Amino acid sequence: MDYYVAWLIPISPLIAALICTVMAVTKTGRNYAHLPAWCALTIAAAASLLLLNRVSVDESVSVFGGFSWLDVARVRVALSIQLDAISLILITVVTCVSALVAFYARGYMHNDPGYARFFAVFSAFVASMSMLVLADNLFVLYAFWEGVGLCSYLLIGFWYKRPAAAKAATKAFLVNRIADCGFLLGILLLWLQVGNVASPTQGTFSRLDYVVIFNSVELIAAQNPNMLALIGALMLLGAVGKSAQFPLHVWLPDAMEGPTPVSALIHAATMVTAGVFLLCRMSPLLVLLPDVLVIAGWIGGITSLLAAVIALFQHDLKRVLAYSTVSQLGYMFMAVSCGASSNLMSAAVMAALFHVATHAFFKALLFLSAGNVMHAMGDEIDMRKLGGLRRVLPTTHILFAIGAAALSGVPLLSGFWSKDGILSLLSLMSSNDVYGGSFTVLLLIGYATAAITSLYTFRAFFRTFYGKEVIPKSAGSHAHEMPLGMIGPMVILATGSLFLGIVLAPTGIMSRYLQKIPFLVPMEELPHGWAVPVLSAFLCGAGFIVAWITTRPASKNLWFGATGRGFARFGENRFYIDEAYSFCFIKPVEWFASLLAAFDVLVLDGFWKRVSRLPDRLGDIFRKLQSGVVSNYAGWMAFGLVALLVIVLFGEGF
Amino acid sequence: MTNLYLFIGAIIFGCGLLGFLSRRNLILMFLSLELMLFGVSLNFIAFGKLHGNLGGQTFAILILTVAACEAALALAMIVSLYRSRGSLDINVWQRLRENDSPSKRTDAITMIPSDDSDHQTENSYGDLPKLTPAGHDPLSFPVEVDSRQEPAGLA
Amino acid sequence: MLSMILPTIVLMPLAVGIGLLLARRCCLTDAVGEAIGLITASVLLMLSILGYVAVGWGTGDVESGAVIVPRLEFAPSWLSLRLPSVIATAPSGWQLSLGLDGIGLSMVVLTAIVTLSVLVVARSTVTHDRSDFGAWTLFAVSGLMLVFTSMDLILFYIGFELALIPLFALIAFWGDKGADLAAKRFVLYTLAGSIPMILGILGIAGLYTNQNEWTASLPELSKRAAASASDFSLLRDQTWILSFLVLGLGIKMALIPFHTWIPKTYGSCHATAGAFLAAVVLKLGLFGFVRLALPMVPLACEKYGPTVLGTLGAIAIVVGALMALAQTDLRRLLAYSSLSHVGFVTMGLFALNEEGISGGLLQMFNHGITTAAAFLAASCIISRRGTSELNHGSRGLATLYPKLSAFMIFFLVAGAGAPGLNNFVGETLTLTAMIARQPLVAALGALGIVLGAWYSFRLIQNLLFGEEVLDRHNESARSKSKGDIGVFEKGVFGFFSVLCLVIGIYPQAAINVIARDARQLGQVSSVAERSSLTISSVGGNHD
Repeated sequence: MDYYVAWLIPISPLIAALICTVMAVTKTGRNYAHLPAWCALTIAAAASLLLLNRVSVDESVSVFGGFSWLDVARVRVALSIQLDAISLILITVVTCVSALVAFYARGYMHNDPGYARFFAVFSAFVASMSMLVLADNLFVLYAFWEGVGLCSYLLIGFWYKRPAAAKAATKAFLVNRIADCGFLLGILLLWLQVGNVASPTQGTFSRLDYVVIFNSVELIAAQNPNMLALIGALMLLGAVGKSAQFPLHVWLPDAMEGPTPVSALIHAATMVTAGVFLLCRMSPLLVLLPDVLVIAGWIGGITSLLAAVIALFQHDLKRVLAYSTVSQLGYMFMAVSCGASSNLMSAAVMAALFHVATHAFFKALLFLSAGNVMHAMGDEIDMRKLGGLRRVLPTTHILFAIGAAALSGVPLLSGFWSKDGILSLLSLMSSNDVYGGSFTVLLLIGYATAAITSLYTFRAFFRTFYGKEVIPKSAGSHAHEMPLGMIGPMVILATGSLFLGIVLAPTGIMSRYLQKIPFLVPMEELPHGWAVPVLSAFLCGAGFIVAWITTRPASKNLWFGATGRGFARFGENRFYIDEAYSFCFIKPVEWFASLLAAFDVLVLDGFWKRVSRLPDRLGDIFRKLQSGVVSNYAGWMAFGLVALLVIVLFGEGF
Repeated sequence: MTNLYLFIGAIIFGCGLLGFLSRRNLILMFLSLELMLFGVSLNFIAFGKLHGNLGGQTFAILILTVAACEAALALAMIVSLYRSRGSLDINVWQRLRENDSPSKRTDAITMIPSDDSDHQTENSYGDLPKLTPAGHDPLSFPVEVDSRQEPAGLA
Repeated sequence: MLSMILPTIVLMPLAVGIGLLLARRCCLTDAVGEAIGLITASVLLMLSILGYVAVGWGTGDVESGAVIVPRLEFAPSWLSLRLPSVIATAPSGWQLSLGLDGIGLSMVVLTAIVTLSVLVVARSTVTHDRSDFGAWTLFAVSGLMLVFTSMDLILFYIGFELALIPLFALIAFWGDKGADLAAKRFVLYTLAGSIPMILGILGIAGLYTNQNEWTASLPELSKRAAASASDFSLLRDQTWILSFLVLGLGIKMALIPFHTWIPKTYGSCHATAGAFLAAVVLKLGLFGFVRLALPMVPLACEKYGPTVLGTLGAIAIVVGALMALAQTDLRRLLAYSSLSHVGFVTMGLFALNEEGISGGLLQMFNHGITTAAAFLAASCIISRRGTSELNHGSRGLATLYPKLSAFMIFFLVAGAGAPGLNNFVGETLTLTAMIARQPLVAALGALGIVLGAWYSFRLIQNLLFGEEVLDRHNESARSKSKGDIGVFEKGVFGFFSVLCLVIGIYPQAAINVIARDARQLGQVSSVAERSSLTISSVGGNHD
């Protein structure tokens, strides 16, 4: 029974994607393209909720075989589903949030010429994401990892007529590809190593199932620790790209060119957490590589602080949220890095996944609220051009408030609990013998980020909904609250943002899953104390107050006055990181490419042209013989005769 | 003893060869050619004697016959060549040279100027194909005036 | 009876091609000639599918110990070659034969598919003399089919050279201004490669002469080669032969230092002809490696394959992609991208293990499909834009021609190795295989997945996406401006897309065709590998 239910999760969105594609291509029933997507995503969500409970009761890992995808000599890849605590938590989040966003998108995408195309790619994304999460095998994970990247590309570039959207889509795909290149190498090297361990004499490859990998990692670590570290680092590179961590974070803010439901689902709730998921998946491998984990922590820490600071200075509401996503993903990386102390690994994984889940809810809610604003304002989202919208959009105002509160960690809301889990782990790690120093800094970064998060979130909230009512011209006369079809799903998300934490964390449901995390030292429950939550609540409050003060119309100059103006400009331009990349990497490669092309035509081809003149040159020499003078011909004849004579008479020695 | 005949044959052949290479007069060149032929015939006879069979002598007689025919033909051709150009100098006949080879015609000895040289030129060479010289791309080589075209009158 | 397919697919296109060329001069209208060409191409496709079935039924002489085992063979007495017995060592006659194994079959099917699609698309993109276009194409197909089905060195070489003449016509007569020079260049370049090629072929024949008994038969030669795969006294001769083959075949397949005919040829030939060139003619060289290098000179391949040729393949991937990035001409961009894709094939084949050979062979087929499709779509685009320059002319084509652009995007994305599409499987397999042999080479090749995506997606961004700009100044763009693609083109592109998807989702279907041959090739190579390992370890002890 579970077998079929599990397979329903990826297959039903896939079928929906096919139906929607047919609709988009044949132009029949285009306006009903949401129906197959709705059905499929509801089925998927129901199926994953049904399965969610089984693992906490039954055995920790169960694999449902599928079909053999590739079977060449020693390379065998099968498409199967693996259910365990990690995949079940994430698949539930993915399917539920995507179903809710799909319901919302009906209203948002209404009357768009690409309506059916939108739902086709949307469903295809959910199918890929589900298979990414459910795969029992690293290679299949990679295939669908690329698959979600492609869907993301198609959705960012959904409004392909806009040059900015086309550019952002290309950028997103390419930045991800850089990471994927490393990730693929990591997978292939791991494949080789696992094979060497599995059958040292015979094969170089083996199956790449997680079970096989994790059974042999310790042997690999013993035989070839440097190789394992390299593999771990390459995996981390893959995760950094997908989860938009520094230095590869540049694609995510630009990805906001896509439709808002896409930003909510793919670039906030699900796809970008795939990197975190990968680290959790590979935790039995990474736990042997504490150094790599510490690097991950540092990357996460730098990213979370950097992105939070940039978010402070953005004027585009969606971009604020995008940088907030980057920052929160950094938090999750920090969480995973706490596994540097091996007995804390399962707690670290759990904390990261918990934050993934709560973040999915409140960030999707925030994005959808921003989408409401955008929809009402006629695609205007610049906070300098709008304001005081709480009368125009009363429901959205409340929903945004809930999301903002959850994001900034207002006590007892979901974000508070998950952030508390991470900060507690960090504070625990800061007393670690080996890595205590690093983690102390990371803990401080965590607190600072928490305060800044609260600050920019509430600043955005106040700038959008409070103050003098400003409605941009592009809104026209239809600045109105969204219909129930769009508000409904948001209310469910809001409920999740409000209560997910308090339902899961203090009640011990979390701990039940924690004990079931496979291949790791089990832990009874997440560590927690009193100091951390109190401090973070205090920081949240401080952020709120500063935000409130600085956004009051009266205190305009409080926000980075004359002296701080330069820094603010710096932040508005995202610290010029994009420009630096363009100058340091993109332009040189393009120059190099032009140079190569010129070299090809001028030097290499010139060389072969020279070679091809060789017969001509030879002919040029011998054509001099054709003098037209009979005596010369006769002379050459005589010369030949004499030469022959000489060879015949004296040529024995040759 | 027979070696001597061989030597004499070789010397006659060598004289003929040298004459053929150094002379420019058609008739003298032809005479040198005949000399070479007789040198070879002498060798045939000498070798026939040496090996004690009559093959050599038979062959020499054959050569004599052939040479007679050949002499008749060759002299006829020389006469007609002389008629067309009024010269017995071999260097007058340089039409088949490459474009950029030097012309030897300037120092050609002509006995009598031909009065209908234009007409003759056309008849003799007008139908030769004009080929792209070696060392040039046939597709890109411009079709130019044949530089081998003789000047109208003789120097 | 089924074996009659083989001479038919070789001789029918030749006869129809020459017949059309002659008839067009006296009595045939262009439209009728075009129709006859299309019908012939369709029959060819049907025959090759029949060949697929027949090869599936055939078993071949498995026990013979040969590496190249035809599963469908045609060896009539009239194909035997009798020599005057002047040379004492020559046998009185050689039995020439045609035959198909999985590898040849995949190429035959590919050629048939590409031919039909090229001719269909030519209906709307080729503006004049479509009958002759079809005739020359069929003429070329005949040579290609001869190469892919020949079971001996002589027919192989004849086919290899036969294809050149019609290709000259295809490039020269329908290209841009200056195409005749490019065509001449292409022909001379490849002819220059024929000299080392024939030397290599003679070398193979000479190397495996048993007791003065020469043979030209590929199965027999491969059997002898496999039997002596651990005889190291042959290494020196094999190295010579391999280097000749690399020179000869490398030019044809545009291996990296010998690829400089590419920009001129593709930059000036008609894009529809370019599809044919890139998709199948490029395969001649690769196929030559599969037929002549891998099974015949296993020791030399083992010594220089993964290191030298594998590296050349990886360099081709990276450099080809970089140069594609710098192009401003659509056809040249695709040509360099094809160079990059072929690098994956080289890398896979010369990883010399079963995974790599399968991956390489699969990628050969995949590359044919995606490149042909991309070139044909580009041809439609060029005929609408009036220019293939990327920097000026219309852009934002996704709005102007949504269906055409959708297909173009599909094929570019497939070429960039998107999962679920064909190239993903091939690229990953070849990388997997190479990492077992030379991890650094594989790492270099893996850069190709970034760069490959770079030029493809930038092309999409600049040409297809964005605001629509209809180039009003370009007269030809306006006069040739047609609507979106017609139903026939849709059929062709749809078929290609389905093929990409099917191979991407269920690659085993394609791999099963070539699995047996790849395994046999892999076995020879592994024998060579093991013996060279033994030799080097023994040599190490002596030192």
